[in-house]
Amino acid sequence: MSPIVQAVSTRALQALLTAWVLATLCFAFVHALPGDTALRIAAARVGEDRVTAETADRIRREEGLDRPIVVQYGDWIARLAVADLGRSLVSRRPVTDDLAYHGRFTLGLGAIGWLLSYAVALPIGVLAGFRPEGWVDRLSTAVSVGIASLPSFLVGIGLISLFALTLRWLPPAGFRTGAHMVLPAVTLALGLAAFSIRIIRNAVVEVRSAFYMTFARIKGLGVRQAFRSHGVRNAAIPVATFAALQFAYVVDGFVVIETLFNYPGLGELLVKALLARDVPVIMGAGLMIGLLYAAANLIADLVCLTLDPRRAAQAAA
Amino acid sequence: MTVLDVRNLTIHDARRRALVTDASISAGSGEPLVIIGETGSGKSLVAQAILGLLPRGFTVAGTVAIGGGAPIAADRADDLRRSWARDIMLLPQEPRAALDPIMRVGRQLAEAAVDRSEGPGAALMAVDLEPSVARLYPFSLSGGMAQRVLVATALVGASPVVIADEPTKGLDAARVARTADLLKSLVREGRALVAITHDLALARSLGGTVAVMKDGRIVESGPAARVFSEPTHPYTRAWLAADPSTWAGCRRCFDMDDLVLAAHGLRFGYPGRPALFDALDLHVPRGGVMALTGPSGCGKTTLGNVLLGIQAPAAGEVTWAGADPFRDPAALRRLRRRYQKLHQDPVSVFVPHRTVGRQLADLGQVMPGFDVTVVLPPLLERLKLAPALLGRYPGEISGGEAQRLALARVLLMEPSLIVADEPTSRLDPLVQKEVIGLLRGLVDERGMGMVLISHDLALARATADEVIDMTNDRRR
Repeated sequence: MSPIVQAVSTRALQALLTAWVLATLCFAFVHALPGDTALRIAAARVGEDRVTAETADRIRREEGLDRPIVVQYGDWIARLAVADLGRSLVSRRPVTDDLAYHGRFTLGLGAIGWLLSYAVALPIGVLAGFRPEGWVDRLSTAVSVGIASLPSFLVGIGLISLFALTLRWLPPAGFRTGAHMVLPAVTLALGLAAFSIRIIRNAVVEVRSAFYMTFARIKGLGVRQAFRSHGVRNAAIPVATFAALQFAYVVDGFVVIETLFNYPGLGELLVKALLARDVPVIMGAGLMIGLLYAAANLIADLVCLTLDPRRAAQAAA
Repeated sequence: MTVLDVRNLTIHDARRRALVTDASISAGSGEPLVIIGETGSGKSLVAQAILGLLPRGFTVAGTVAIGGGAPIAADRADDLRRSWARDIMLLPQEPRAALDPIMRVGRQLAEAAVDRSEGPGAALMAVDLEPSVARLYPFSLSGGMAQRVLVATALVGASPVVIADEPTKGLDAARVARTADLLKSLVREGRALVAITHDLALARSLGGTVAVMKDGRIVESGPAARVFSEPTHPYTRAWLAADPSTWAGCRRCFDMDDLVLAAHGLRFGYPGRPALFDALDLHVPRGGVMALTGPSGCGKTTLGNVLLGIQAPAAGEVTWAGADPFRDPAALRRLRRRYQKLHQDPVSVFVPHRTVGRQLADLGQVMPGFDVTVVLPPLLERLKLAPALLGRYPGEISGGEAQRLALARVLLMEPSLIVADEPTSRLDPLVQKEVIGLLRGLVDERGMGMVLISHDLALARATADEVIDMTNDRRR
């Protein structure tokens, strides 16, 4: 079996296991929450002030919340196996529809922010790596540390007050037009680039100080030529791994940014579901985020296998 | 024709200490030039200066003329680097580190080739490698194969001068001979070979011109045959005398009823591979030295660990003064500290951030009634170690001192048997002679036994009463 196929099948199996563990954990946590679930659902459907004990009881019966917990768990896992995540307790729409709708927004904005972050981080990181302790390196380090130490909502608020409120170039929140995407994407990109610049810079520094680079020069290659043929691929291995993992982080760490910009992604869906104790949606979203993590890991692995023959040989052994 | 001419090379480090003083060497096409010297003699700095690769902050004076060109001032590193590939090529000390780990060997060879139309096959065959090696990645090459690939790299290039930096470091005798042959193939191709080494065997085998370096100066130079047969400088003479193959052997007979160690029918192997050793018997009497020799990977260290009760054999038995450490836990506890190992890397047996003296005193924690102030001073005197060394950290002592301190630590435990695993392979020949003489003397005085593990057959023969060659387990 080729190492790629082997890696994919191992990871796919791991993803299945992860999904099951996640599903169980979600279920356990949600059911361990104190308070009456039926009451919260009733409040979400009919409004806080019109909830009565009867409505709550009716919902408890309708949604099967009065069944033993083992039965509820078995029921959920069984439906999960046929990709049926159930219906939202609040909106009554299928959870899969909700996830698909909101997931599209998150993945779209995530991909843009992620690409933007690497469009910024790659040139800066490489420049900094070529002149360690030079001005590009020092400045980018200072700015990265600054951004990395600020919570993303502060960065977002800063951007909103500058570009939306003061300069009035861009809308502060919402999602109707492309212009709406700019500020959340930039907020996201800055947060990601703050870390990836350092990773890229360090990978370049390490590769440039490797003896095979000096030896390539002694063999007669010029500085650029040596870096093109020996530096880029070697430096790409750690960077690609990190980039794939950062993409997973995008999906998960998005809650704050989506809430701040009132953007209808997975994070927003999850927050609303949590407040309403909408169990199927919470579990569905948790599961989806977990699976996206597994998928990002798989991609990271595949990238490494294609770039690094050592890994491929190890995987084959 | 002279293709490398170095005149009056003087190198100072960043603190203005002279590391190389007024060194002049020259080499002609098709000739080997061997610069030989101990660690710290400055020989590698000469190579770095020629290549324009001295560390930052170093200052250098003198001139270097390469490939018959005009002399270049040695402080013009950029000008010197322009001669890379065109006039000069390096065979580095760590051959594998010189190869890009994720590019196939063939492409890396092609990068150095003058004639790009020719595939890498011919060059690989010239260094006794299969042409299929071109398809491999460097991580699947052994150190020796990587070195061959680099020699092939020099062969496909046009550089008339090839510098080989410590080409035999860490190699056993058979591999030293093969490396010498390989380097001679460059000489036959008409290249000037500059070999930087501390290895007398390599220097003898390459021939040509020899320059002996000591403390940054070339103390003697001339044709190899003359320097090795009639050395004029006292240092060269002392060094040649330190070569184990010239030592007087010292085989003696012992009372074989008084054994500190015996082993019968030992077998050990890793799963899926042939056994490293099988049906192996050995006996070490009180005061006796047994040597285990053979190439890297033949199982010397593993056998040493079995004899020390650290690694269980697949079959056979080990006897320590009448008890089997693998079957008698009480005996193992009682005798454990009497069966000690002296490691190849002496610095690694000390933890880094604690003075050596305190680490020796720490032994009190495992040995009741041990008073370091009583036993240590006479031992230090015997080992010719200054008491001031005890206040230093492990990183601040020289290799020879570190090995003697490691020996002091082992001796404080009053061992019956020491397994010394390559105790001198990191030491220079003069220091090696001293340490081995010391070990041999201590074995006699204390009535211990010693098992010496060494890849150097000459050293094993010169030191031990009995030698087991584990290449094919023949006793010599």
